Formats: sequence, C-alpha cells, structure tokens
Amino acid sequence: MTIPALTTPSLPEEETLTVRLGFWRKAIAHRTFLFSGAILLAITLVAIFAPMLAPYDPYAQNIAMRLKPPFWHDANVAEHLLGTDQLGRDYLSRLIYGARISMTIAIGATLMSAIIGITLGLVAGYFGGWIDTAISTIITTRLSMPIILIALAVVALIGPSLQVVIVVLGLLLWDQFAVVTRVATQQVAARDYVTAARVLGSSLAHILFREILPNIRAPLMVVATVEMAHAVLLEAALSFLGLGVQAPLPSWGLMLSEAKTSMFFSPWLIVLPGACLFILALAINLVGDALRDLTAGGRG
Amino acid sequence: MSKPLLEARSLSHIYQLRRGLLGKTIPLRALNEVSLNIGDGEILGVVGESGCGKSTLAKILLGLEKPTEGEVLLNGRPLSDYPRHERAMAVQPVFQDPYGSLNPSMSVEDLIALPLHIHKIGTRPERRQKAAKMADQVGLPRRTLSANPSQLSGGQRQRVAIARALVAGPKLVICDEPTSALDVSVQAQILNLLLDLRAEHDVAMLFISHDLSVIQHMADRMMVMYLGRVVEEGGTQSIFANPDHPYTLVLRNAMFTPSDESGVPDLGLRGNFPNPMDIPSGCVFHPRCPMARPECARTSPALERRGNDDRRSACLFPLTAPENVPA
Amino acid sequence: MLLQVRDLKVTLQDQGQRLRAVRGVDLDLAAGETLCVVGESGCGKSMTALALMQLLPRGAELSSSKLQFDGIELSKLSRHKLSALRGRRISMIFQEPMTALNPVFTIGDQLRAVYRRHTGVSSAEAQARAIEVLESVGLTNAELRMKQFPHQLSGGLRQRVLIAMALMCEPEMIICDEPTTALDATTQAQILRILKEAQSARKMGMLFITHDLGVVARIADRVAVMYAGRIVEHGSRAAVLRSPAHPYTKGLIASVPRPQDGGTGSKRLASIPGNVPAFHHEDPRCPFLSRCPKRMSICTREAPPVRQTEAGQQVACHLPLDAQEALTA
Repeated sequence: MTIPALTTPSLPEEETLTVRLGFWRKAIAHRTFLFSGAILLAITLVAIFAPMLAPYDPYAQNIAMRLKPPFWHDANVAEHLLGTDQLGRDYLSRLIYGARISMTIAIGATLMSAIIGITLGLVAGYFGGWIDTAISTIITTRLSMPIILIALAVVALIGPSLQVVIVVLGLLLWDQFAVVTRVATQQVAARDYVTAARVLGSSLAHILFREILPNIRAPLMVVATVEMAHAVLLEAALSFLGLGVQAPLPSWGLMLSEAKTSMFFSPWLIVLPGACLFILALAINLVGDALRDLTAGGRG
Repeated sequence: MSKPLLEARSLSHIYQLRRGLLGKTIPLRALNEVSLNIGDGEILGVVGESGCGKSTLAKILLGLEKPTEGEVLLNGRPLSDYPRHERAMAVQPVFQDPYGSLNPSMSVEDLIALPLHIHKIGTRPERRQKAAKMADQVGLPRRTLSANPSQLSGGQRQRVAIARALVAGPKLVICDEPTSALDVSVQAQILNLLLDLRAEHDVAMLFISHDLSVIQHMADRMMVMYLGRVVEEGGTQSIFANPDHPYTLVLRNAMFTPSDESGVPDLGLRGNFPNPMDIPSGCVFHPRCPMARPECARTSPALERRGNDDRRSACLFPLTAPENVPA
Repeated sequence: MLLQVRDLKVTLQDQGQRLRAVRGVDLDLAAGETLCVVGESGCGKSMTALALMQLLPRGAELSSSKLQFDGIELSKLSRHKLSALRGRRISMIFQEPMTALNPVFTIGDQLRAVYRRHTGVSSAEAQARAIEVLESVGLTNAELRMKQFPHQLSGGLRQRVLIAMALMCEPEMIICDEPTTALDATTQAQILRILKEAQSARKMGMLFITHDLGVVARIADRVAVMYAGRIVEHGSRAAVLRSPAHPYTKGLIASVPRPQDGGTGSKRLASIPGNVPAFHHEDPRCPFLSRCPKRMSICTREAPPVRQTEAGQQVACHLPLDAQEALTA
C-alpha cells in the first residue's frame, strides 16, 4: 500500500471558529463596489477640499473673459481649463464648489429623512397594533403625495435657500426608510434574541437601538444610497426651476438653468454640470447595488 | 412539604384569532387550568407534541404573556408584583434555536454579560471578568469571547445562551427545547452541561421538550400535556415505567432508541390531530385514544391522584387501575 | 443490484471556497431492501441523496466512477431521459412537506399531474389511481382531500400526500431524506409504518437518510454511517448497532439518552467533544481523527484501511473496536 503524501492539510482543530469573511474582505473583491466607491470618494474629497483644489474664486466675475470655451476647443486659453460662464466665472472652480452643494444636500437631506423614517419604522414595527396602523396611514399619506409639486409649493411659500431645500427634502424623502425599517423590525422583533432581551427586563431604548437597529442596518444602507441619489437629482430639478439653491451659489442644477439660454452656442455649459450630476447619481446608485450584493444573506 | 420555588395555579390562556381584517374573533384555548410547582434545584420536564400548549406555558412563566386566568407565584409572591429587574434576575430563558437567540451584532462577551449590563451590576471590568468565568464554566474557550456568534457552531451558541441565562444567578431557568435543533452528539454535551450546572448552582429548571427520551433523562418530575391540558404528572421514572394515561403510553411507544430493533409499532391512534380551535367534548384525547369507551366522549376527567405517590392523571379508565391491569 | 454507487464525490462552492461535501462514497441497494444512511448535520448525507437524483444545487460538482440504477448510468443520461426516470422508477420524499408541494394547486391536481405525465392515461384513470394510493397511505376521505390545498392539511397529512405522490407510479426505488424529522413523535411512527408497509408490498428499494439512530433501529436492513463526507462504517443493522466497530458510531450511539440509563439525570451521557470539521482540501486520513478518543500516531499519517469485522460490517479504521477489545482482553 502506498502512503499518500501529506503536505498541505493540517489537523482540523477542535472546536474551531468559523473564519468570518469580513465585509471589507468581500468588498475588496467586488469590482462594482471598488469602482463606484472610488468615484464617490473622489467626489467627496473634491467637495471637502474645494478651496484648495479650485484654481479660481468661483464667485469672481470677469466680464472680459465671459463664455470662454474649455481647453479642447481652444488650447490657447489655458488659464480657464473648462472655460468660463456668462459672467466670466471660472467653470472648473464652480463645478468643484458645486460638488459641495450636492454632497451637502445629499447627506443633509438623507440624514434628516433617515432619522424620521427609521424612528417611525422602528416604533411601528416593534409595537404593532394601533400604533402601527396610525404610522402606516402616515406613510401611505406621504406616499400618495407628489414630491416635486409639494417641494415646489413649500419652497415657493417660504422662499428658496440651501437650508430650506435640505429641510424640505428631508421632510419628504423618509418614506422608504420608514417602509423598510418597519418590515425589517417586524422580522427581527420576532427573533428569540429580542425576546431574551425583553425577558431580561431591557429598556425600550436598549431593545430598539442595540438589539434591533444594528441587525437591520444592511437594508437601510441600501435605502440611504437610493435616497441620496434621489436628493441630488431633486435639488438639481428644484434649482433648475429656480426654487432651489439661489444664485450666485454654484449648484450644478442652477448652473444648468443659467446655461440654458446659451446652450446652442456654448454646449459645454450644459454638458459639464449635467455629466457631473449623472456621474454622482450613478456612483451612489452603484454603491447601493454593491452594498445589496455584499450584505445579502451575510448575516444570520 | 416545603414551599415551592415557583407555583402556577390553574393557568388558562386564550388567544383571540381573527379571521380576515373585519372577521369575527375565534377563541383558541392554548392552556386550560394548568397547575404546577417546581422546588429549589428541581428539574420539571414538560413533554407534549406541537399544539399542546407547552410554549405558551413557557411564555407565561417568563412574563412574556399574561395568563387569561390563574396566577404564577415565585417564592410565594405573584410574578406580576415583581419589579422587572427582580423577575429578570430570578427567571431566565434558554431558547430552542441557537441561531435566533443570540444578537448577531454583539460579541460573545457582551452577550454573556448582557443581563449584568442591562441591570448595571458591577463595573465594566467586573462584568467582563464574570463573563469570562461563566464562559469557562460552560466550556467555551476564552478566545471565543471576542468572536461574533456567526462564527460559532450550534452547540457553542447554545453554550453562550446558557452562560447568559446563568450569569446573573437565577433561581429558575426555563429551557424551551434547548437541544432539539442540535445533533445528537452535541445534544449530549449540552444535556451533561445543564445537569452539571444544576448541581453547581442549585438552579431549578423547567425543561420543555417534545422528545420523551430527553425528558426521561433530565427530569426529576414530569408533566405530559395534550391540547393545553395536563394529562399526567408525577415522578419521571414512575411515569415512564407505568404510564397511567393512554396518551403517555402512546408517547412512550413512539419513542425510538438505538437498542430497540422491534420494528415500527402500531400506536393504535385513531383519526388525526384535532383542531385546537374545535376541542373535543369530554376527555380531549378520546377521539384518538386506542382505549376510548363511550363514556369518554361525555365526561371530562379531572386530574386526580392515584395510589400513594404524587402521581396524578386525567383519565376515566387509567391504565394502572386494578381492573385494567391484565392478571 | 438496484443501485450501485462507487466513489461518489460532491464538491460545493462555499463563499468562494471549495467545500468537499461527499468524498468518495460507495453504496449498494437491492430491491426490497432498506438502507439507512445515518449521520449528523454536515456529514454529506443529504448531498448524497440529491446526487443520486442528479438534483444538486447550482455550482456543485459531481463525480463518480459508477452511478448506476438498474444498470443505467445516471450521470450519462440526458435531461429528458432523467426526468422520465425520476418520479416514475425513482421517487424522492423530502423533509419539509410544505415546500415540496405547490401551494396554488390542489392535492388532486398534483397527484393526477404526476401520474399522467409518466403514464399518459386519462384524467379519470389518474383520479382513480390517486384515490387508491391515498387510501393505501391511510388517508381517510381521500376524495374530499383531493380537493384541498396543501396549507389546509396538517404536517402529518401533508407528508402522507407526499408519500402517495412518490408511490403513484409504483417506483422501484424510493429515496427518503429525513421524511419524519419535522414531525411529532406519534406522527413519525405512523408515517414510518406507512412507508415500511408500502415498501414491502411493492418490493421497493428504500434509501433512508436520517440523523436518528432510534429510527434506524426500527426500519433498517443495512446501515451506512457517514462522517464528514465519508462512510466510516457499513453493515447489517444488528452488526452496526449492537457491536459498532468505528469509534464514531460507538460515540453516536452512546450519546442518545435512553431509559436503560436508569437514575434520573444521575448518569452522564457519553458525548463526542468538538464539532464536525469541514473539508476544503483532499485529506485521505480518517475524518474522525480530530475528535477520536482512541487516536494513534498512525491515524495522523495514513489513510485508514477498510476492514471486515467478525460481525460482518465494513469499517474504515486503523483500530476497529472489536480488534481493540481483543487486544485488551
């Protein structure tokens, strides 16, 4: 009888711990996540370090230099890489500062709607009964309202500004958070570890925020990305309609609006902020898709 | 007789089930006048099949449900009078599913120390020390303390659940099918552990199982339940040797062990499991009972003491009655 | 031989790793015989059953040097021929009767469909056959039951319907994967009786997968004990259960609580320390190595030979238990 060569396999250790493939280990192998995450990170960094990156003051007007084309049209105008707008402001600097506005609104509105939606969803899902019925009615009411029309009406009433846009969007975008939190809470609340915590006499805060919330964070992360992209696009729409961020702030949506008069003569004025919006919204949505992939079935 | 640790007096529980959104509610009697008592350090086994009310009983004793009728006394004091904190310290659960009973986003150490953390007992280092000590006692290697439950096997998870149940020094642990999700060899480890811990901590247990062989191995006394009622109770070995109630006999005959190669027995059970929403008249077991007589459909038998020992059974024609024992 | 399996291997994909679920299994099943494959969760017993039916999950790799049913090599059959065989000559019963039945069709629809697909008879004939089979598995009011939907039946009744469905075409072999695990003890006894009666009436070969040695003792003719993807012991019921030769089999039998232990909780159960290991690499050595109380140095070096014991079973162990007892005596 030949003795089989034994090289690699080691003795299986008694009572071994299963190796846990951490989130980041899996994330590093996920191409979509790496790609879209890198774009999102880059835009965030641009937003944070805008003052250092922007070659010019985004508000500085120079009528003499108005509507200069970007470098690929005219290699001689090297001082304004992406040209200038109708008031002669450096377009690159305005785009860079525009990332700040978009990210501020995306994060601010999403954070606000997350707090509202998650709280409502947790309470409805955990308590059930008439509380659930009441909150579900509120959610249904909210779902039956057209976001863009309500936002337009409210902003028109109060008067547009960056803060108003954040608050209005925050108050309108919580529905998905509430719906997802409510269903996920119902599922998790039925699990034995929540029962065990109740038997232990835990406080309500402990049950909701330590036992339930950490275990439903995966679907909530996905909702957050969807709502962020949603908020970015809504802000652009509102600004385009003149009821969002006000001039001279360099919002991408506002830049589109300002450029629409000269779009046939200076198409880059439309194309550049449009491309920025498209890339940001796409990156956020792709990150959401990747998160859904990475967290699916991972936790038991 | 000394005062029991836990005493339940004729517990009844009715769930109101609603058919559809606006339909009528239908009462479902999950428990019907169940009484029991557990002494210090005693293991009371509860055996029965699905729908017999054993899980409802556990929920009531844990304070998760309020009984429709009857009361539960812990150390002579009604359970409903206990402050949340004191009750939690005295009665602790171990659940069936080791995959669902541990919060997947906490570390093993935090899970074990949870009862101490919630009731703010000791400082954080003290709690950690206690958790480590408890882990040693239930046979969890120290390096698992920082692990996440998803890294543990089913048996290891159940050890964590047991450590959590015992860390605050309870008087009573309610074990609801603690081993039925585990493999036999792991079940043996957990059953041994529970018996060791009982001896060490003098903790009483209510041990619920559908598996008569496990109850027979673990319990000092046992209760057999059928459709929300206790049909027989008393010393485990005595009941096991000479069942009084035909249902207990059927359960014993349906218990298979590796040493018994006698083929699959005919249990003599008639019909199908009854609808719990439509409980039979008279003795609830009579439509299925292999020994039912016409009287059984009319008269509901009371849970009565037979002979000298503390055996009680609810049957009009008990198996051990002199006229039923073949000469 | 009705079924002959040689060197069956199944490899699954588990989080990007290759998990060797079945690592070289040999099985034989004769007509009218019951072979119990017993083992704990993760030992590969269910994967073996699914491999026989060619029903492995996606991403699973299957290899064997022989996988023959009645002389037909199953691994070479076309999909079409395979589905003509499944349900007609080979049937399978699963653990969870609710998921194995389609919730939107009545019991009658499903029973008739199975029969008509394989035999092409008229609906009326299929109806008559369905009633006959339902009654043979102890279902009362068969005609009425046929009009019901799966969710209207209890677990025990559903499992009877599933058995009836498996028996519709008078199969020659039936594969049961833990068919009674989800049921109450009394229902389990009734279902096992029905299965055994159906088997002896039709001279079916039955491959019964279970973790319950108590059930094995009641129904098996032969027993194969699986551990970590291998059969470690294989022989007649009497040989394996009464004089187990592999330390794993012995440990498994000893860990079942039994009345003979006598005193209440006085006796500790023998238990096997540790957990079933998962194998990601080929390892010819004994899979029980890490947990074996009788481990010797040769066990860590060489693959265990398959030996024939005095009681007649085959065991893969360097030091089977009877040889050991002979040594100590």
